[in-house]
Amino acid sequence: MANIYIIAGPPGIGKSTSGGAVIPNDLTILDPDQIADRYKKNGFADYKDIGNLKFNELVKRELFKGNDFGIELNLGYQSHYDFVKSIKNFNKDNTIDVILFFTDDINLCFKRAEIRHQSGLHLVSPTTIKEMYQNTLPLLKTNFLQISSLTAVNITAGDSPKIVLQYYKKGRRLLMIKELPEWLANDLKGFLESGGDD
Amino acid sequence: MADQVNISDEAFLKKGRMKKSPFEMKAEELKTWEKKEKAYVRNYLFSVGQPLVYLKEGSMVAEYADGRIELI
Repeated sequence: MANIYIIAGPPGIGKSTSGGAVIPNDLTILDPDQIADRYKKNGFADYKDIGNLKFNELVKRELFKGNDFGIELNLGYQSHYDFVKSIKNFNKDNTIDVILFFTDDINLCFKRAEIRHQSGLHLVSPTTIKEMYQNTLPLLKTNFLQISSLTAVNITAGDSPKIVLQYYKKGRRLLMIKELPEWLANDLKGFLESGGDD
Repeated sequence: MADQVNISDEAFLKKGRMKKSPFEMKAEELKTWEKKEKAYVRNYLFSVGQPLVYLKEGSMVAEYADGRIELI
């Protein structure tokens, strides 16, 4: 059995920068954008395609080894959950632990993604960011069956990422801070308190 | 072209760095962790040629490795 950590959240939220801070020490993290960017820097014209192939190959390698590992995935489209499902189906005993980076301030995602692109890294359009941002919580609830645990990380422009909630499906254990951000208080909190199956 | 195919798998991997969940830390411990994490983020972003984006006096700014701070 392996624990597979999904570092999730819309583009520009800070998954690549801060994801490692909430993944156990020395555990491998696979980031498809970083893999593609590395191919780009090495002169590959088809860096996106080859990056995706390499990402899939490395995920398979970790699954076959039975290792715990982490992957970065927006979880902003149903296709992302389909990918998670395929990982889960590889070994039904594996756990899927989602660490969701999210914010009440979508503008922060727009700005960070824009600056990242200006610095030579991958481009994500504001339309796509908005779409993924709006899809994130509804899709999480729709696909909650696949998930073993959820850690919610609140992102603001002024502070370090803050873990504000943890939910473990086993035993329906819910731990959270008193003052939740709106995105959790208004929606997800009630869903989790009812056992994540409303 | 030869260089293009010689990227080792290890070069694609990143590593977790959590020794204790910040969610389980006491206030003092958390303060120290946040300070370290801020320094890590700053160094990481500058090392990959990106600025640090944050709120300063109510406005969103980008701070660059050379010390420039620009309104965005």
